[in-house]
Amino acid sequence: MIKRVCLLILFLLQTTSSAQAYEIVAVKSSAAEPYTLALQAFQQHFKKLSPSRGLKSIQADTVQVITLQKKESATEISQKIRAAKPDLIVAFGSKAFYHAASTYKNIAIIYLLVPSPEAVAQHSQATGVLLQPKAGVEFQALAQIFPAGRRIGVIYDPAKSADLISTTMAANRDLSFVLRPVSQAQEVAGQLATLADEVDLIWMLPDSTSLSPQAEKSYYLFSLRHKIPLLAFSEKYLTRGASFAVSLDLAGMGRWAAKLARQIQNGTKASAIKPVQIDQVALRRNKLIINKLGLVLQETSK
Amino acid sequence: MISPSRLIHQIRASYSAKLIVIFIAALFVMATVLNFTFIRLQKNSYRVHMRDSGLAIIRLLATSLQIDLFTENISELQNALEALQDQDNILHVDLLTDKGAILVSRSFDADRQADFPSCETLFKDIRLGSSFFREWPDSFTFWWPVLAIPEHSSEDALYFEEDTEAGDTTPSVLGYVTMVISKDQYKEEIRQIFIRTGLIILPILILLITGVSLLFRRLTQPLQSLIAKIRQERNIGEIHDDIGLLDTTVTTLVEDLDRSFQTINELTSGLEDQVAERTRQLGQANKKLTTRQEYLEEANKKLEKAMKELKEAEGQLIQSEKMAAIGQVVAGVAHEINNNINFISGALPSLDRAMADVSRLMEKFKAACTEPTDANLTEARALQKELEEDELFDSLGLLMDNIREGVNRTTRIIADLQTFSRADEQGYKTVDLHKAINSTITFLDKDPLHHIEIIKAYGELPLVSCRPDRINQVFLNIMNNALHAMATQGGTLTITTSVKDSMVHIRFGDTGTGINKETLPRIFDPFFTSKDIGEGSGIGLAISYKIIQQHGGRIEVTSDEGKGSSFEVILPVVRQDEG
Repeated sequence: MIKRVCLLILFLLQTTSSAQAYEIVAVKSSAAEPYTLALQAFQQHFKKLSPSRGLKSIQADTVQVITLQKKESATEISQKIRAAKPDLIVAFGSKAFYHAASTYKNIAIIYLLVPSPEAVAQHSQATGVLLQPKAGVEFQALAQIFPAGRRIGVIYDPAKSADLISTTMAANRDLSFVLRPVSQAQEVAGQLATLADEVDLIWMLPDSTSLSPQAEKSYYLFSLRHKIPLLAFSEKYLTRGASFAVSLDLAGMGRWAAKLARQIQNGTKASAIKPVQIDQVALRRNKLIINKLGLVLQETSK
Repeated sequence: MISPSRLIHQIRASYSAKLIVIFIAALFVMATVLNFTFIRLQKNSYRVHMRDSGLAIIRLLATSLQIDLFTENISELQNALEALQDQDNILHVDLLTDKGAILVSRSFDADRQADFPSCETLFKDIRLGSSFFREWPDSFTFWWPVLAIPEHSSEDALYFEEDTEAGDTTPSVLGYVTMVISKDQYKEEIRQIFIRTGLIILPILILLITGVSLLFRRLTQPLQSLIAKIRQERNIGEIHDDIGLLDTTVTTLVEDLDRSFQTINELTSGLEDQVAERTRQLGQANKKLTTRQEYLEEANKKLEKAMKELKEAEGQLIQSEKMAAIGQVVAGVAHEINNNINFISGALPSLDRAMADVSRLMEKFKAACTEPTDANLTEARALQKELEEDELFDSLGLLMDNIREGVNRTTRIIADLQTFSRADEQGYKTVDLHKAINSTITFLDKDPLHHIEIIKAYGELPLVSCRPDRINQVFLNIMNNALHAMATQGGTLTITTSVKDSMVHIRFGDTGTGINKETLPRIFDPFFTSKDIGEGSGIGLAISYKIIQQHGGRIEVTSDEGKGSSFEVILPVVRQDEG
């Protein structure tokens, strides 16, 4: 009798678990550290958000991780994602988002750490956490520590960054933006030279023309020659010569992605969920550069 | 002062001088070759150094000019080149576009334009792309591409460090840097190397030549002495050089040697005849020796046979000695038993008579009892009286005592015989030697005993481990010899026993004729006897000595001719292999 009851329970568990288990596939663009940190935060928070009662508490949802390799073809990547039979895809980075969107048109995708999701792929069931914080929040943070930075010099490619410039300027009307448009990277150094006596700070934009690898060094040379600090949008530039950089909250983005995943799992359509935009950022500074430039910062600031 | 021609003549004549000259020449050649090899190596090394340092400068220059060349910022490029002015070696620097057009050109020594190739010539080398370095008669030229940094692979790379690997992207060429370096310093360094090595090698060479000359002189000293001696002895002036002199001497010696060999050969032919004669004689001697050897082998065989026969004879003698001893014992036993039987046989007729008287008396009394008449009784009493009844029974008792004595004595003899022979007992037993001596005395030769007294001066003896039959044979032998020594004039045989240091001493001392000094050392030799022929085998004492030796003991003999002898048997109480 006991045997029969046990077999029945096992049978029920088998059938119910296959019906209830939710297969989440996390696709990383590469093994780069930011993707890994964000994924860890996602996994931890997603686990915390899992129910503590019912069958789901017995068999938790599984998160499969796929890390894309450089030499893999699109077909291979697509086969890999299909083999995982996902109910939901969490894409870390543009490449992952692009291949996830190309592989499945109807499965919900949550993207994060993607600079321009709409430019990467058009997907009806995609939502996510935007990499760009709310326009102008970095200047609010900067004002706390460097209030002297009132005149902001900007080198930009109008074809790529006109919207960003306009929204940022609208959000920070108290600041004065000195704009220098460029159409190719060779112009950057020359344009920078014109800003020497006109600005208190140079804002480095996520613009592939004005911040091409070749042009990037011009910013640092300009900064050192004219003792004008640079504000970058990523910590990557901090060690290279920028004075301030926006610190991306990778853990926060991972947590947001976990929340979105639970929402979708609970039945909300991904198309109905607006992408999350971070409205607060932290700034990090390069003390060595700041000292060399002779900048005086607010003592209370961090 | 010796003239050069005279010096050359002397060098030609002297073997050691020739050797020294050849060696010095070889040293010069070797030093020159080594010097040039060393200079060549140094030159190559310095050339490599120049190339590496030139390449390092131009690579640094190419990297530092990356941004200015990218933006084609001529003034900045010129400023950068001006910084090179302090470098003495750099003659000229050109900055070219990727197509080879000159962007900036800077000469640091206008007078030496002709010392290095034109920019067009250099660009041809650049296009060939095989090397970044070329050497000209008066200059080195270097060139290096200024590479553009690869573009970001995606927009993500604006935010995050790209996971790039070598060879992922091929950077484009922004332009080239060419540089001409003067060879002046290089040439000066080479010249300095020449001077320095010359300064180092020359004193070493001088030292080596001096050292080698002294060494050669020392090494060839014996040769020089020899040559001088030859010159002196053979009276050859200075006509020959050293080698010629030696050659002549050796030739003369060889001729002398040939003559000597000839003489030896002549002598040898005579010697061969002698050798042949001697060989023949040796052959004969050998033949004789072979014959003798055969004779000796034959003799040896005969000797072996004789030895065998002798051993057999010895065995027979030993056997006959045993038989003689047994015979003596048997004779002794027979004598004793005969004496005892005399007791019995002497008593038997008297006993028969007494028994007949008793029978008669019994008949009379039986009749008187059957018919108790007076006559019968009187007759019986008369016979009783006649026979002297009391005496009759006394004599019967006496006769019975005699018979008993005879039987007892016989029993004792048999017991003694058993003690003596112990033929049934093989191996070693613990034996009371006093008993053994006593039993042996029983079987001594009876003839001499009539006028010989045996005195037993026994001490306290422990039981001794021995073979009793053998020991008795020894005692019998020694005592019989003593009796024979006293047979004529009589005497005393004193037997003394004692124990000293775990050894039993049994001394048989007689007062007989004694043994003379010449005979004494040989008494234990086999077949040695002082008795007349047929009286003794001569092996009795030899066997006795051997038996005692087998028991781990010894026999000591002292004798005084005419006064007597003493044989002392010394035996261990416990056999050595037992202990």
